[in-house]
Amino acid sequence: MNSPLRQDLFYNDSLKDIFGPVQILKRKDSDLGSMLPKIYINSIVDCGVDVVQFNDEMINQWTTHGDIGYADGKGKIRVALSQSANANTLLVTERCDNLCLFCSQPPRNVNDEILFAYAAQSIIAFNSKKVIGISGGEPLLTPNYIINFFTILNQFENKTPLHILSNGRAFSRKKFANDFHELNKERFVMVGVPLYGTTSKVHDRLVNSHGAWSETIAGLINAGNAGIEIELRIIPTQYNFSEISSIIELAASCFNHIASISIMNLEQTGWAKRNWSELYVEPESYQDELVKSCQMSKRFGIDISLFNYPLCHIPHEIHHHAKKSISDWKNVYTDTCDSCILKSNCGGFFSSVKDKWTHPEERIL
Amino acid sequence: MASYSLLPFNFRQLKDDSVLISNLSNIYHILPNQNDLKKLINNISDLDPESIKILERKLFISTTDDFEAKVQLTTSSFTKNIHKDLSSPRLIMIVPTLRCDHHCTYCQVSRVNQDVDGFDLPLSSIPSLIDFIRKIESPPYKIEFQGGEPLLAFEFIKEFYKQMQEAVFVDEFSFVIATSLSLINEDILMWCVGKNINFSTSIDAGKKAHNRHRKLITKDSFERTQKNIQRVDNKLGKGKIGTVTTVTHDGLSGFDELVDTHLALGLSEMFVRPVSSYGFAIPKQAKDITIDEFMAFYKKLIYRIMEENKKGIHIIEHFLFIHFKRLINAKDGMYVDLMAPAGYAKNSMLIDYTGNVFGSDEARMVYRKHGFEDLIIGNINEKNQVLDTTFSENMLVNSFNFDVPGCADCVYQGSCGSDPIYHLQEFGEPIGNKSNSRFCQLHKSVFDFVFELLKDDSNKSVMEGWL
Repeated sequence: MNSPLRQDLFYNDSLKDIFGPVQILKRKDSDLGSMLPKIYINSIVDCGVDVVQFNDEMINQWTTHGDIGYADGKGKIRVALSQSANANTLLVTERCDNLCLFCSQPPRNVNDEILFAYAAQSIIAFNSKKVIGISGGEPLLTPNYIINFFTILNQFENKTPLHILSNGRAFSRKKFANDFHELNKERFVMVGVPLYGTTSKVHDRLVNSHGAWSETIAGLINAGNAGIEIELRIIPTQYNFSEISSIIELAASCFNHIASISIMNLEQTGWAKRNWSELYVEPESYQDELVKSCQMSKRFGIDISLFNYPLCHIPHEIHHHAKKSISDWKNVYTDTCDSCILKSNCGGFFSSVKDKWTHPEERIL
Repeated sequence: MASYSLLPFNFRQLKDDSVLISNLSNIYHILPNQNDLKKLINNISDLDPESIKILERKLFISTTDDFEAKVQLTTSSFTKNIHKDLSSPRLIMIVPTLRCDHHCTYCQVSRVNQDVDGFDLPLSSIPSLIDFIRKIESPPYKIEFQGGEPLLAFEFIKEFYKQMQEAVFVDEFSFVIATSLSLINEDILMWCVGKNINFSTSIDAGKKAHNRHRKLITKDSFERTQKNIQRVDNKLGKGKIGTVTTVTHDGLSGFDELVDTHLALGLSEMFVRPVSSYGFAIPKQAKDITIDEFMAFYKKLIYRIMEENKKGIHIIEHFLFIHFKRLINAKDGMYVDLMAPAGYAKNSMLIDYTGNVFGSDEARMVYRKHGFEDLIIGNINEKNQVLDTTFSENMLVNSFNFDVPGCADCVYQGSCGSDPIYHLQEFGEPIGNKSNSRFCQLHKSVFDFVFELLKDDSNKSVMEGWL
């Protein structure tokens, strides 16, 4: 396996004692009205005495002027928002009311409200017109936090489009769904909501939380009725792979504002690692269901995409539904991929797959 | 084992002993036999586990745990479907003239001869016409010219286009001209170049039937139409013409000829329906062809079309396709005759040559025949163009097929629609007796036929390919 396409974690002694979000600058920039601490990673131009300024070739190579990093106070910095990334995502809480068996970011019950403040500051400073992802934990777990978050962004007249990953349960309160939509009249917001089954039996088992399905269902109804754009997410596992098309039929028939549907191959990370043998099902064994699901795209007029499916593992007739999707910081190709003529169109593999091979490689396309 | 409860459903025995069931979400399922229907009603757990699984996924049954959420899902999809029918756009029809060069046996509006005065919408009414359209509908405006023969009023169409272009953006409106094409000429074609203008023309089932019913003094309507379709294609490019086929008794054996005619002309879409019994067509034609006769013809036609598609020749029949789309909750399954509440006034509005406004083409036909004043919603030439919608609202209220006798318990309720004007004409009131309703018989037969076709996967692939 090769290393990921973009590196995002760096260390520099000069960053010691700096904590939280900072803006990474390469030159003096009077246009930036940002309230974040600034670090200059170019010592040629003198930027003044009160700023942190140092040379770091690595950081320089992998960042763009104006990027946002989160510093840990011990010299480490992770680039959180980068103009050169193919996807930017901010984590706003580690707490969650679901405990999905395959969670890639297992929740922790900690007080982390500060993350919402970091995210708001970072988004305002970064001021991007490209979509920023908001993930967790469950970003909507405490409705007040997200309502305040939007209010602050609106006060700064920030219009950055957001993609929020949520289990949708919070929308089961109709007022929250309506308030949420109301606050985002001027902003494009898409909420990615996973629905893993047509019954509570399947869904609640996979998200390991009793009562989750009914709340997600009520939430999807309310959110759609309020006018919130939804990206419905489905992860096939041994428990639900035979009902993927039924989930789509149910969703497309019952919910409003389903903008797109994503079918996502399981990622071997977080809790999915320890539950892998119980959950994972090879795409080859539910090919027909995948084809049937993708065919519903035209019927309902909804984009249906396959994520994390290397092209060599799905039938040719649905290749055009497969997205080259994995975030660049965790995307890899195998050595054998180099000789494949479809590599440039293929999503490749998660770097977390490492040497644990999920299943044998197919013929090279 | 979990215990299951039933959610509301309707059912219908199909020909082969299987039983079709449907629910308020407009999701369908076929039970193999009556016995399974009895099990479903009496004791769900007697059904085989695989059936239970599928019925649960399709919102027919639910465990106690999920019951409330399943009811919410059902109501949500039910309202979603009504909302789709409520929010689809409105077609504006304009009758610039009642004059016509044809005198078709089944003409529904009693057209008048070409040289008669007093049957044209004057050019001076165009500004108020445009005001009216902008008042009742928002862009994009879909405008259809009906007749008579609209090309006899080409000057009107031209002037209307010009003023429309001044009033709104040019990409905010499109025209369809419903014409026999017999009067198309170089000037008209030249004028159409580069404009968003399409034609809807008639090709009946076979040359014999066409010329017998679509009468010209020269007796060559069929030949002219073919020639002129090619002319339009050559000048404006393919895809500008949609055809409509009216099936009469004389056309009942013309199914193959109809397909051949379309293929020869390179037309890949058709729309076929029986002669309707509106207005002046009633005494002459309605009883001329029964729905059973039509269906016998129609099935042969569709099997031929299926065959062509399986050979790789792409040809769509839209009457069938729209019924199929209604059955599968497809995204653009809105069709003015198959909506509940009806498309009348809500999705169509017609302004005739006197400036009178009607809720549909059928309404003006019934008005012209019976002089029923209530059908006139307003007149564009009147001051403030006030509409009196009391009558129309009453029509629409009675077109909500969910709670109408004969529809409420029909398996096709969620896919079908209603036509208050037809029932008004036939029964004197907007609901009518569905067991004697030609509307009901026709659409039920076509829905049945779709399920007959779906039994064969290759037919299913063809219809899905049309999506």
